[in-house]
Amino acid sequence: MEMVKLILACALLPAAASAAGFTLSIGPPVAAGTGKKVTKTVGASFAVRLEECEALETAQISGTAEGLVDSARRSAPVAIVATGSPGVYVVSETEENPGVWVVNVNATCGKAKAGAIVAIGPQGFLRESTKVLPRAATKAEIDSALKALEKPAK
Amino acid sequence: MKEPAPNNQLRDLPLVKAPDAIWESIEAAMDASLDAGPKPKWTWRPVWAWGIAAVVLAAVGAGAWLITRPPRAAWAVDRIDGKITEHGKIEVGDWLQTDASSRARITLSDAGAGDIGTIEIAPNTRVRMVASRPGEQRLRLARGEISARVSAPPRLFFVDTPASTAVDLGCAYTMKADQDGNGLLSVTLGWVSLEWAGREALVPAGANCRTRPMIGPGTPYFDDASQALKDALGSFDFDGGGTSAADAVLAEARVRDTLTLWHLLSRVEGTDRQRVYNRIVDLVPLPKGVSPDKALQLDRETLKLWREELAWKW
Repeated sequence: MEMVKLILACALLPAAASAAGFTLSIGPPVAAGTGKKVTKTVGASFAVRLEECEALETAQISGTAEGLVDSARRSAPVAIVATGSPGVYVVSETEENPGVWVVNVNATCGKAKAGAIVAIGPQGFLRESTKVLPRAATKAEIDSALKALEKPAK
Repeated sequence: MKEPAPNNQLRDLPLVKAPDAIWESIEAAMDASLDAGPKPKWTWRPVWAWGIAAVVLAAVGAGAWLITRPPRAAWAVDRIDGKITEHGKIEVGDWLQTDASSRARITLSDAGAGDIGTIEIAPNTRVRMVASRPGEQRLRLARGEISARVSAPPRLFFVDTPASTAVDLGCAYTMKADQDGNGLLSVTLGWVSLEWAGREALVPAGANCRTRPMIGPGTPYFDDASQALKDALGSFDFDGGGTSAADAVLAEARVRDTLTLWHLLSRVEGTDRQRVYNRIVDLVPLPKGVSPDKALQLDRETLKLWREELAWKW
């Protein structure tokens, strides 16, 4: 039995190593590079880069916009577009809504996970209020981020 | 008795003038011969025929060219407010001018890329369509203000101003030029490259760059940079502020102002360059793959990689 565990551990080691330190970088859309086609978006957009992922071909990324409108929680889709640079994406809101909003980003690289709660302001993403996580964000964390954004508006 | 030779006899004959009637009969005979004989090779009639044929051929050729030639490149022009000098379209070489109360919109089109964007012409603006060919759409802004939103492959749309050329890299921006040729670029989306005589400024969304005739583009800065940084930059770029102005820029710089410092690096020398480098590294640690020595030597690839990494902090 010990031998089986050892073999399994050895088999899983490369996958774990390939994603050790896997995380996300969040930046302005211009970080995606020059020469990107300008796409008209109704809402804010930002760039995401998958860091420390050696298996980018199998990496996945998803996201949703989460909002608080008149004290009621809302969700909306976002557009995630791969750029010419491997592991770099531009995320854009597809609707312009009242209230306060964050974008909940989730990514996987092999078995490793990473996430981010990207705060959105009137001029785009808010770097100071954005949180990068070593896992997917929880509902409580998203609610808390929305409430923190709502406070200055009052 | 020997008979005289016939030649001698002929010599001895008296000379007698021929009667006029003989000459008349000879001329009549020659005329008759000319009328009846073969025509000479070159006369005025074949020359005419060749001329007419050439004219007909030229006319047919010109007609065919007119029918089959590609339509002359033009941009659509729409009036937004007031009165404008051109309406409907402008072609290469045409000027478009607005007065104090008029605005217009140009729809850019490229034979290869189709519709590639729009340019809004503000009041008191004078622009000219300079070139429109596949791979190059070029406008001249003589004075005034334009707002461009371009969705085209990079380096396809150009705006020439008295002090620089704005090269679209996938962007939306406003460009102003005053009567003296001084300009201001403000980018709202994507990137614009400002170029003049080998001097270049890469300006991302949220940033501005001033231009001056015979100097070219200054150093880009973000909208939200401190006024002290903007003033010091103006002094450094256009008023010979030198080291003291550069020091003021370094003192005012935030993480986001590494955009400004990255440009400044290649515009100073010696110990000034080392100090600019040190300030950038203080604000944002040197990323993997960027060699300090190569950065200080202004190695093109190293600087590009460094800028791409710094952009994540802007």
